[in-house]
Amino acid sequence: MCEGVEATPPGKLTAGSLPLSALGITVAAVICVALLSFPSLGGNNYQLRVASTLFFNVALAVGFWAVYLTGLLNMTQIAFVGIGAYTTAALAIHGHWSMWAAVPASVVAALVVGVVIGYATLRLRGSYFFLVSFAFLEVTRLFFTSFFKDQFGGTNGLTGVPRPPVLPVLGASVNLASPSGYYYLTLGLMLLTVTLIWRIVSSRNGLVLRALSQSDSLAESVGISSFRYRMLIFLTSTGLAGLAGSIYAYMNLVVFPTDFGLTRAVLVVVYTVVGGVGHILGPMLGASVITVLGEWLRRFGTLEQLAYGLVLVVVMLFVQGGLVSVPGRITKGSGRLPRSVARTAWKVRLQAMSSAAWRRRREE
Amino acid sequence: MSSPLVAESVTRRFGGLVALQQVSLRLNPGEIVGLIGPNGAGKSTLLNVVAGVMKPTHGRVKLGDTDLTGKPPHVVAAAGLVRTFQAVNLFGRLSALDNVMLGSHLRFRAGFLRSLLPLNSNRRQEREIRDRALAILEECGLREQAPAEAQALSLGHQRLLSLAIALAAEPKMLLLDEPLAGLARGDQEEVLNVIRGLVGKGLGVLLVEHNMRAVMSACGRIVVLNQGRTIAEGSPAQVASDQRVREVYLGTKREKAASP
Repeated sequence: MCEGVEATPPGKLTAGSLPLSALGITVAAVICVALLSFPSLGGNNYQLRVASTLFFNVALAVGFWAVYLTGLLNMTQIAFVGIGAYTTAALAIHGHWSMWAAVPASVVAALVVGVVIGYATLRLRGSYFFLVSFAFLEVTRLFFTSFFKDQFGGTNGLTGVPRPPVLPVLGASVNLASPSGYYYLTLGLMLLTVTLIWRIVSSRNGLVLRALSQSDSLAESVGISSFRYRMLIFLTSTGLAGLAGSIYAYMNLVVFPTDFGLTRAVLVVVYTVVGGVGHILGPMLGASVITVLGEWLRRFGTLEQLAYGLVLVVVMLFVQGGLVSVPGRITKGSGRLPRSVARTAWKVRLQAMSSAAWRRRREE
Repeated sequence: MSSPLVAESVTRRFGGLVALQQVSLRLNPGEIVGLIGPNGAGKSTLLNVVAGVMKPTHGRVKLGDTDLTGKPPHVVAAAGLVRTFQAVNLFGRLSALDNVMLGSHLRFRAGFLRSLLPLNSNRRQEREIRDRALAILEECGLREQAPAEAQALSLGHQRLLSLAIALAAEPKMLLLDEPLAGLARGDQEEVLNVIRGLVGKGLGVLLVEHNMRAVMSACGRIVVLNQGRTIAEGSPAQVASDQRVREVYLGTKREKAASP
């Protein structure tokens, strides 16, 4: 008998994700209560807006990560956010649909397009899938720019989305069209996304998804249909993207084609890479840190973009597992300087020494 | 147990190159058939055609009454025909236990939505998958390695793990692509013993292998391919004494096998 086997908790089935312990549930519950009560504890409007953006970005990053787990760099996600947003805006403006009808319709629209795109692309692998998904992102943006200008407004976008309604909640009323209303909307989106993806990833099928990124051929050889599983996780992510888009339309009350372009798609990749792909906390952490950092950097104007690039380079060079890997590195004691840093530091020191020697000689 | 694997006059062309020409093969439950031939003879192509990785240009592949010609690999696997790979092919960053649990996917697959619910039946089944995977690891002598990352195992253990994954899929027929390549002699014996044990339980095994000593000792029947054609078939003794086989293959290969 091997002790290691006995010591492996039942949660080991979750393949590298944390087991859902009592502690984990308690911590999650405390965080949820704290998040839910933040607006009534006197968060100001600015803070609430930043928090909404943060929740929205976390939801996108987690949805992206779920597909990434199967080995696909999926650039279509933002296109589906766009499809959700435009569906909502068009139905609400032209069709006078209520929010309760427009939101599900947007999710369905994203899913329908998702099925078609999934069938066409999910048999592709690696860079081929990446390129096709990237093309779809651009095509979708161009579609909203150039086609059905009466319905979608062309480059001017769609303005005048009706405000979301006032909801009676527990006797009080929550105005969804206020900063705290948007806070709750995006919080709901994030909690739904994180819970759903977490359940999938830590279920038996999550193990299958992880396996696909490591060896397609082996998975197929034991009867796993890689296409089917990629399709399921792709559609999950796509549906959530449609929902996010719908909420986006209600938050901004205007939608432009450029809102759903490459810039945003790349940002989602950056969130995920910076946060780390090893755990669901990675994309969550990455999206949170970069959103807050972005808000802070805004005062520096155009330098914002430069700073994003810098953060990405630094993380890729020195923290390859992403931010989420940092605590593990420190506790494991492998937190010594990466070789490249050490080498640079050594060169700098050598240079300093030689220039100091040179200066001394001159002074003599 | 009356469902043999039959490949009927399989031809496979790559453009102008004929990799397989009218090759037929029959594999009965409970027997080990060796498939040998020099490099480029078409062994791997035949294996890929049978396992559904490639479609044959002509010919059929059947398991019992089920026609598997041109079916995708996961469908072929579901029919009971499971293959291993020549190069080490594992879920490298998962534990050995996870690897084997994935192998039993066919038996234990769960609906995508159902697996999301915190059901007792899910939990029970997950425990069952785990226990079974551990039993298979035990059978392959890998019990101690269960929690180790697959990519961190020694080559011998990785080969055994490949076998364990294939076994977890509960195949009726097993196609092994050079399972002994790169192994020390002791490890080779270990792998061969596991294979012999399986055949005793009624599994059919097709063994593609370069190691003549192992093939001669393990297989009841040997098929020899050369340049995409079957040039000989029969018992190890018959094949070894066949003039054409000696010419294209055994003469040079024996000298190689003798060198360390």
